[in-house]
Amino acid sequence: MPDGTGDHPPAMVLSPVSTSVEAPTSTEALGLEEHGLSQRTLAWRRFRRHKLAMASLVLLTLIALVTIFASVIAPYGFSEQHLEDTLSGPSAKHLLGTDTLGRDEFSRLLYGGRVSLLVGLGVALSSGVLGTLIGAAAGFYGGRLDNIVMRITDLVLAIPLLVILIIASRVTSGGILDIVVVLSLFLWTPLARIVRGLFLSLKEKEFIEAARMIGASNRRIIFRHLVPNTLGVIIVNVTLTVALAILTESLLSFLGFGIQPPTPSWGNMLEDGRGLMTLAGWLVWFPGAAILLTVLCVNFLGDGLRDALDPTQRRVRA
Amino acid sequence: MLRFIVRRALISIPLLLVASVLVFTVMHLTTDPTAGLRVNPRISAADMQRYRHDLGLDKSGPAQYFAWLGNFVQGKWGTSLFTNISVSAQIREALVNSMVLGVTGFAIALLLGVTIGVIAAVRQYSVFDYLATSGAFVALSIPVFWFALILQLLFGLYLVRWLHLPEPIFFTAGMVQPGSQGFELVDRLRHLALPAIVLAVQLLAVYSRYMRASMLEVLNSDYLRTARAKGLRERRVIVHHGMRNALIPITTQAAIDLGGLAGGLIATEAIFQWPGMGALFVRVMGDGDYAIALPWVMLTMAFVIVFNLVADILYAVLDPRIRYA
Amino acid sequence: MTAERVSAFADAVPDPAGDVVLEVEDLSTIFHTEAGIVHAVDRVSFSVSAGEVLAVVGESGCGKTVTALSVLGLLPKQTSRITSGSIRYRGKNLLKMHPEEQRAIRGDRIAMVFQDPLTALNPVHRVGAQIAEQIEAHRDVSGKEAWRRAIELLKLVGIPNAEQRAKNYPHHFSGGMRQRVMIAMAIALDPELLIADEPTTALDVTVQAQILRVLLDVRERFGMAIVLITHDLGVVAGVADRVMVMYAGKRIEQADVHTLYGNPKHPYTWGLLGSTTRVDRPRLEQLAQIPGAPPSLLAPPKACRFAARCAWVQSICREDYPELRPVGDPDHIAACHFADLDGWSPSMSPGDLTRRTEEVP
Repeated sequence: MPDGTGDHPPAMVLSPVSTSVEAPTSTEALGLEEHGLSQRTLAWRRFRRHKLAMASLVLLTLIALVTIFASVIAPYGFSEQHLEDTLSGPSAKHLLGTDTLGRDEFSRLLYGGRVSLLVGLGVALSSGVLGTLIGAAAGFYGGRLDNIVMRITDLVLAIPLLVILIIASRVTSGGILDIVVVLSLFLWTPLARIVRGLFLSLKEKEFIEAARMIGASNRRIIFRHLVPNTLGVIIVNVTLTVALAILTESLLSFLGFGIQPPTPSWGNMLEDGRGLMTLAGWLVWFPGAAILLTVLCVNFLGDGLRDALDPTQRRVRA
Repeated sequence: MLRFIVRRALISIPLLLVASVLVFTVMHLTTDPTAGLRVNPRISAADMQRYRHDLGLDKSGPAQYFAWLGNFVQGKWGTSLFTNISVSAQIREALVNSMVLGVTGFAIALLLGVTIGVIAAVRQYSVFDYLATSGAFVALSIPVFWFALILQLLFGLYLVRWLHLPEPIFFTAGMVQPGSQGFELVDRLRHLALPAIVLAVQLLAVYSRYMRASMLEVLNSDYLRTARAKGLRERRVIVHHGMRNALIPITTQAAIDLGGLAGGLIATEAIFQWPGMGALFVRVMGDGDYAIALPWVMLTMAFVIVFNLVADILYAVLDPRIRYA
Repeated sequence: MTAERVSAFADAVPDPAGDVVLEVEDLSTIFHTEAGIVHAVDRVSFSVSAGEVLAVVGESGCGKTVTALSVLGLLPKQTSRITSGSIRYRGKNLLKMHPEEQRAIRGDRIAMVFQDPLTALNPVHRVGAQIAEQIEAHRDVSGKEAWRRAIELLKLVGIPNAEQRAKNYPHHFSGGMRQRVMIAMAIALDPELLIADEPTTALDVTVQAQILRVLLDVRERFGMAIVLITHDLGVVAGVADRVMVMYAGKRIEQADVHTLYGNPKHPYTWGLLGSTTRVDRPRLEQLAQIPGAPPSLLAPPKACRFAARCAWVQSICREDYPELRPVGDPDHIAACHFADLDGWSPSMSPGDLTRRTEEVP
């Protein structure tokens, strides 16, 4: 969907699809018997091979650290005004320049990063939990519960995301918590659908029948059998939701409906800078680049995770 | 099939109703159409009463909703809460403008996306493929409004400066030159170009990836191998067997995206000041004008629902394995 | 079919004459994988004559399917390569042909039936159209004529109500019916060689028998040669004239069917035969298993590839590769150092063998 806030987390679509290999594929024939290695170790190994994902992981950790310690690293406060230096370009005193009120862009970028990352992670985690629980319940128990859930998701998905968020912003205060709550309330739907679908199909598989036959309780079946098989997909989805959340929040703030000033977020920094961009391009370049870099890393990370956690993929290179 | 369509239509109605109730409630509770009037000292209490009565604001919440609903389904959408302009006229004009922008960007994205995707799949792991993948990654990660701003800077400022142009090649704001009358194609196109590019780039990234993934799956499928085993010409194999199957998921996704065009251009229109549905929505939400906002939401939802249905029908038409009970 | 060929290389297609239809010599095929180069087929040779059924037997991963795909030129170009050998169809080496020449032969003179008919047929095209398409690709006939011929073929393979069913899609057919459709497609142009890759593996036992009968019937009618790839020895016994056993990419035994079942000379073959239930033998208490697994094809052993799992293994097995050698009967060859040893059979214990080999200075 347009505006980058569509229902499909972007990078879900980015990974090359599995190629059915004509080569002998039994692990023995390939000499890849890896006795005694746990799933986790195997997954980690596969992940390590994805160079870009590894690099992204490192970079993201760096970004996270820098923003967490913003109060230590930032030379100035985010609303500290230096009226003698308004609208000055990058310099030794103000690394990334200042805005109309003389606020230091570098510091604002750091604090803004904190906001964006918090929102991204907060939304991804809460919508991830919500979506998984709802989707699992719908898929597992089926029947009326499933019907209700499907109707609700239909409703949520029928209205463009941005529209819902803008309407919802009328009752929110513009603080981080509000934004996280609102975004989570609507971003759980794609994951719920996916988990529901997975549970529905897994439920019919023989190994579940077998588990039932030996008397496993519903709870045991869900947690011991169904969840582990869907965990990979869930993790990938949650990761990619971080990217979506960051993009959505910045768009919302840019349009004036998200994080309200004086709290800086990369999105509202862009809105501030927009009117002046012909004079003070740095106000636009840096926050935007920050978003791009972070989201790009998250997407690469998601791609790497998918490679690591989706065992059905095999890539054969000439 | 017919029963399927009817059933879907029937399910959609409660959906629309629920949405309308929710939106109405939020808007009603957070908007005061008389706010502007209150500060005016020359309005007497009686005038205020009358005004409120005219707008139907003296009724209870639910009563107001049903009054609105009744009028809405009859096509009487009334006028804005704050001005006298007809709601339907405003929405209609905005819709047309959005469609022009939307369909243009969409068409470019679809054509280019499918082409790029097919080539990338057929030449997997080549330089072209690598570039296409990287491009898609970046296009999907870049904040759309930032990309739009950059384009505005580029075309509106830098290119003009560097190439000493009297005017930007593509205009950075609006749909027409301010003050112009009538319809001049070139001028319109020069205004359409940038927002269409921004829209196209977003969709292009998705379509090229979808097509590539779909095409790869098909290229490695057993039936493609059978087609080759039959000794068919390679072109026939790729087009008649490969693409015919690979296009199915993209066609349905494209139909769904078309449905989303009515309400999905908010950011692009805001930045380029394109007078479409998105810009309209942002404006009325600033005021809280729910006389316009409500029909707006209904209309965009209807678009989405209808095109989702179209997508499902298309899917059944294209893939004989899908047949709806 | 007697209609004129459409290929630009129509002249390149030889006239059916002589007996040997396909002669594969020294074929080697490799795959590039993330783990390295896999030697899927290692210097395999065999030939098939008109009208005969050659069964190619072996476990998964032994290279039988790759061999078939190599013959037809259906290997994925990016990840595989034929590194040696020749594949002669009626004397002409397919590997040295122009791709268009190959295409003219593929589907026309040499055809293939695949294992899973559900995925092997295009789900969005009607069955009749898929058959007709093949006819039109190689012959100068009208669409109507091709369709008519398609219906004829469907009848031939035993599909009832063929006129109607030709308009159906693949998923409207049961597994057995689908396989019949695949066979109809494969024989559409009267090929001289039909390669059937595990045609019955995905089917019920009762349906298996039917499909095999269709294949034999077709062979009767058209005199085509059939290469039947399978891991099911029961199927082989009922249908094959000659059998070739493959293991870890190599041909390790070949004989006519009676000899192979009656007097096999390779321990792997013994294992294969011993691990199936047979009606003509007393009931076993346990099915014999061959312990272990095939060697990795990334770095195949230089000596006997079966050595690690062979109960009769001797030191020479790990040092020298046992080239194929004739064993008594004409046309019976086996790749074992002891194949031509007097009294070589499963009843000889490994201990006896050691003693025997030690006796010889």
